[in-house]
Amino acid sequence: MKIGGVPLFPQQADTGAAGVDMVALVVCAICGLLALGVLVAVVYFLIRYRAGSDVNRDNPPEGHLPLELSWVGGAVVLSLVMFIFGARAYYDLRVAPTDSFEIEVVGRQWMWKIRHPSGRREINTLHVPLGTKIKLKMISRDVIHSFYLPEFRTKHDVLPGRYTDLWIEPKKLGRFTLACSEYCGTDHSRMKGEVVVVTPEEYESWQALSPLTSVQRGERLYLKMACDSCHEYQDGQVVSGAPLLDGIYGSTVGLEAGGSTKVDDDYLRRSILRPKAQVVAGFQPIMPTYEGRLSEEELLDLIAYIRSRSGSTVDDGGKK
Amino acid sequence: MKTHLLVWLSLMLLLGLTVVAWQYHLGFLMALAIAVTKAALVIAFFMHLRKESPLTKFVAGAVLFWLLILFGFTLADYFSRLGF
Amino acid sequence: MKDYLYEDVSLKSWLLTTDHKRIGILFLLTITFFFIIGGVAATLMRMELATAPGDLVSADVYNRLFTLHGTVMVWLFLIPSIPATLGNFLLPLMIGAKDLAFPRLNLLSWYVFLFGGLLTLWSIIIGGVDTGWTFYTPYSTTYTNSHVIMMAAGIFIVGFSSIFSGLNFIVTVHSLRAPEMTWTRLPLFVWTLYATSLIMVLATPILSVTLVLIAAERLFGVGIFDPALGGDPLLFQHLFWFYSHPAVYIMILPGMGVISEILPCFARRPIFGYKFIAGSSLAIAVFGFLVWGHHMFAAGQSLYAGLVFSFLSFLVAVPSGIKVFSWTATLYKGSIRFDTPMLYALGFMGLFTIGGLTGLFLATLAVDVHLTDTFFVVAHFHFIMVGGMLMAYLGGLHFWWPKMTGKLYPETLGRISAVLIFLGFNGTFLPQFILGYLGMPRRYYAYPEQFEFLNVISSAGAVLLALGYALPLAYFTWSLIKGRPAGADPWNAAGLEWKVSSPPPHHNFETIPVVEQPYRYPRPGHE
Repeated sequence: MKIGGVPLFPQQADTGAAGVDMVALVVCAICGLLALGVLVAVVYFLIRYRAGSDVNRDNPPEGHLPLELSWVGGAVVLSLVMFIFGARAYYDLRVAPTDSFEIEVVGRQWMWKIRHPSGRREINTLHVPLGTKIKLKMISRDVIHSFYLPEFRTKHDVLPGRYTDLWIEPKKLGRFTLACSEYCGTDHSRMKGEVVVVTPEEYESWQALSPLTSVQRGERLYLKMACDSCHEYQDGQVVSGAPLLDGIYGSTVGLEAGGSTKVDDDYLRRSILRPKAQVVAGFQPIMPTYEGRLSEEELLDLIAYIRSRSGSTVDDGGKK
Repeated sequence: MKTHLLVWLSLMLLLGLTVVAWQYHLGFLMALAIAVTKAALVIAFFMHLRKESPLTKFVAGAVLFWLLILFGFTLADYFSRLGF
Repeated sequence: MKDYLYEDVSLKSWLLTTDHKRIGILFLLTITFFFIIGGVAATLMRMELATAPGDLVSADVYNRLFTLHGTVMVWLFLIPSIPATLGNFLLPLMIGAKDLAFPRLNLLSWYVFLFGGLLTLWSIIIGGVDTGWTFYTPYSTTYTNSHVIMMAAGIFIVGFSSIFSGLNFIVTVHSLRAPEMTWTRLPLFVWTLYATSLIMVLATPILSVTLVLIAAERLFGVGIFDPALGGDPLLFQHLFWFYSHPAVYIMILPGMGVISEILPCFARRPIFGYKFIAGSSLAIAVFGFLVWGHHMFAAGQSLYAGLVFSFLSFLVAVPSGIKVFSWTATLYKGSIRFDTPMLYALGFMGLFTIGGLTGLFLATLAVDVHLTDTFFVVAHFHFIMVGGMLMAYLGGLHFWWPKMTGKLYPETLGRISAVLIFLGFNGTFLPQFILGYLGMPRRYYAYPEQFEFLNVISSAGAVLLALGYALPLAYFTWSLIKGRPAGADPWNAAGLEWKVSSPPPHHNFETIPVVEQPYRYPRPGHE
């Protein structure tokens, strides 16, 4: 729909977009009817009961309990209808299917860095294969940003210090908008880019052009930072008191301070940056901090590598 | 005057208890419980809530309830986020 | 006997006055000053947005402009607007009291407000703040190098003015009502002031604490919000919206009260559903505290918290629905006159209804994910704040202007201004709903070409709107000198404030006034 070359409705590029638009239309219909009802009543009363008109004005009611209560009841019921529609669609929007293909996003003032599993990286452009469920694992290097894809009807804030996610399933080939929608400083309005939806075959050949996968980069980093001097067996012996990394991802570990935690991406990230905060039960807090020594990208590489040691290729939130 | 002195003494006692609780690692719930008791004593005696009108008591209770809303809903987000 | 304006005309008598009426006038002058500053910023923003590329000002200047606009309009205009001016002036008159319960606290409230306001202004003069009025962390605490602490200090101080006024109003309503002024005879405006005061007293301290934490984080790096120090930036959003969502009701509730006074007077019949309207004000004050999380559906809040907050947000819409219903029913079997205050009130009803209903889009989880942080949100809250509160404020000002000054304003110009503002407002903000759904994020100073057409309409509407605001400023000032004398009761209205002369004498009532049922229209013996 266009007026004078101006579209009045954004394209639907995601399989979920129609669902969101549907909910919006339901809300729109309910609100439209209510607004129309008020408008018609007000205009009718204003004309009919204008001063000087010759109409019956005997005993204007000062209240009408059944009418008022049924209005309240009706409003509650309509609210529930809208809530349920919205909540169902929200659940679908927020909870990524477990078999999603994972792409990583690092936001910073003022650009988006995108990292594909093959190791291919790009800036402010996101290549995605058509018809594939894609989960974006996102983190910010500095302030809060928001990854907004209007044609996909979804967005989520990208926080520093914690991974958040967003999932899409492109159903249309072409180029679509990517924008930052959480105010992030001077060039907030320039922090935008494109989503390029290509066929799965094109995507395959596109992302194959990459020197190293993130797992490979992570492994190099792992050796370079000498993580293996503590976290590995040598001749069947743990060298230093550190948990072995094989199979740890997705498991639940007891903590030295009591309680337990799932080993997911966020836990791994915290344990690298602030190792003493949540020490695994039975170990000493001897690991040095890597705060300030690793970039968000390097952390993602390391986590990808540690995950691969547990045979996991996607962030399933530790749900196994 | 005598009540005030007694309340003051029990506050000092509770203060000592806080230190002891810390030394024996009794956890933050214990510390919180002691702090709440102390606050209750101060409000009831030093701030005279005990002898105030029901309306004032109602207001004090309402404010406490309102504070619970702030803490409750915020913590609800944190707990459901961490998957407790 | 001289009235409160001419009893003593020295500057000293104004600056040391404890008369609630004079303090109301002092607030009126102060917030008008701040409104003009906020308005100039808005004008510059709309000029910048008239074209797609960022060409008029730089990005940094634009970011400072919208921060200035938001901060000044929210804290220095909207929050004190009706309560501190009309509320201060009318509350004692309406309940048959000689003044507020704590007249000197009332004066202090004004001085504190002025000081905090000037401090905020100072932070703008020395370079401004570029965080947006929301001060989201960690941008505000760690990354920006603008004058956040100075502005936070200003708002911190202004907060005390809110608390003082709220406290004063609550005590006054409880203890200074005239002998026969029972709770069910209170004018509905007083009910809304009471509900507003509750929110002011309960919510404002949380804002103060949050601002102190921001300053502490900036100055000492305490690490409450900074994830690099183990803090959580979302905690700030929780604390901020715990104040700032109820603050929206601080801004709209008194407006609802004003409308509830104007409608029966110009429909010449009692208000419909008095108890429902009074009760819904209290319900809004209470439920308003339970919904803040709907600002964070896409911010990293947990799924389950989102569900709870969405559900509660729908419920808080119900009391507002009750009010719109009752106002509409008040027109039934009336004898409706279309004087200026009534035109403003009708404008309010239309715009507030749209503002409220579009709020339901944002309470709906899945739709909010698409719309949050876009121009849809901007349009929605301007419909509530400007279309709602500002229309009500101007309506109330036109309604009680004869009482406050003893002078009549030119009626024709008044009607023209009401119509101009209504049209200009819709021109400005209706296109922004479409822009939002199309996906134009807010706080963008340059935007893609495809959004230009709708932005041009919006900017054109803003011109009309600015003209509409300039009119009352001009003819109100003119009426002070040349306006015809109003007499005690130009509208033939019910309510104690119309029983005293205009302007009212220093101590309002010489004898204890006789209280009757509220909204006794048509006036017995007059019509």
